[in-house]
Amino acid sequence: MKTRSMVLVALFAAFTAIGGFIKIPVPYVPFTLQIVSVYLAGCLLGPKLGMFSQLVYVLMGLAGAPVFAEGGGPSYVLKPTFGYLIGFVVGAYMNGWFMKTFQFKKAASIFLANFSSLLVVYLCGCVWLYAAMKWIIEKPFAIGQTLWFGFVLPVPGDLLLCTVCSVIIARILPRINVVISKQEVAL
Amino acid sequence: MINSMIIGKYVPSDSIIHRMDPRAKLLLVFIYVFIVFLANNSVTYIVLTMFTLVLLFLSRIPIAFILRGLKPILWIVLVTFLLHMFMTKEGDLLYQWGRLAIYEGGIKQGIFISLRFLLFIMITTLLTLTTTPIEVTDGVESLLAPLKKLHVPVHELALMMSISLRFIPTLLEETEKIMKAQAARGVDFSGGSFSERVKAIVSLLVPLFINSFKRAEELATAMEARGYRGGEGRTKFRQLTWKPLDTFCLIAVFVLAMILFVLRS
Repeated sequence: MKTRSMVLVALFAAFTAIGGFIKIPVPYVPFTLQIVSVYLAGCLLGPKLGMFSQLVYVLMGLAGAPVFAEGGGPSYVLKPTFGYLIGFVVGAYMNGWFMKTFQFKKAASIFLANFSSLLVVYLCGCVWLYAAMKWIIEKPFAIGQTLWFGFVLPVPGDLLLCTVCSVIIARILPRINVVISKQEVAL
Repeated sequence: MINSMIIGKYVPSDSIIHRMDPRAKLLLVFIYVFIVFLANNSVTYIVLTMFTLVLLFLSRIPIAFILRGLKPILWIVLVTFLLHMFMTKEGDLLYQWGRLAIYEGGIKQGIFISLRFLLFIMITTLLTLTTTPIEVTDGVESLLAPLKKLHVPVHELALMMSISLRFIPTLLEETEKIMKAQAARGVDFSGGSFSERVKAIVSLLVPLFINSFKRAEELATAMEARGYRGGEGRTKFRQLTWKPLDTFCLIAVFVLAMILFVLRS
């Protein structure tokens, strides 16, 4: 792995942490900018490095650095919401894979890549929520309840961010690509 | 802020637990996760609780810190307890009020499951209280070293974690600075309609991005200039040493697992 790509991965992991600290107060469900950096990492760094950046973020939190929404530490694994963090890792990979395979350029098509990673994040989140309720807390939710609390309630804000992000990425991408490809960011 | 990232929730002291090798502590926590699920009756839960309390005592960490570590996850424990208490219908009926009925089995199961939670959280809190995130990173790198054979970039991941831990406080500081600078230019971060808020955030993100890419660039150049070329044959500033104490602790955990296995019903 090149030094330059390692530093960039570390930077995007830091972005995810910062995104968690910037909370936008919106009625009903406050949402953070974390998922923005998942899109950015996937789109700008590509599948593998994007995935690594989110993995580094999750590992940092598990190692005890207070980077998650409510602190950090290994006990976070027990939280029913831990699945979303795993979703970040998989989602960044998905996003990068779409961008790499189809070479999206326009905002509308980038939205497609972002939306797919959004779905992956929520899929992981809901599966974990369901599993945690069933085996850790040992009082299973019904599938409908899981979807209501894990998907329908928190999704509108993220969907909005997804749209805004696609527009931003479409503008950043041509400029960043020049920088990143010149420096041969690769494994 | 810099300290809160690199040190995490670390409480400095010179206890036995502090002096343990981070690798031993990580292994201990890892094994403990499975051991917790071995306990399934009162005797095993008492043994497990005693073991955990002894560890807490040995760490000589003020109880207030541990309680603070429990706080964020306490509501889950509470919800779990209440769910089990009201929903399990086993054993004798103890109390009934309208449709709410509390059975003996419910209370018992509620206590067991929430105790399992509490014990697990206590052990992991103990890990983060006696070990800095950097130490944990070093420990994980050393423990996962065999995975290098499978082409998992273990060393790189550990290094990226350390870099990122150092980046976060710098970026936070920068975010604050830019927010103040933009506020001085008339950007309102706390009010306005939604579109105005998005615009405010963009005015924060653009300079933040440019600055941090510059910083990353500088760091990469500095590393290359000093001859960094990956983990191969690299010496370490922070050395890990495995002591007899660590071996002893691991044996103690295995003995505990055996005891629990015999006593469980």
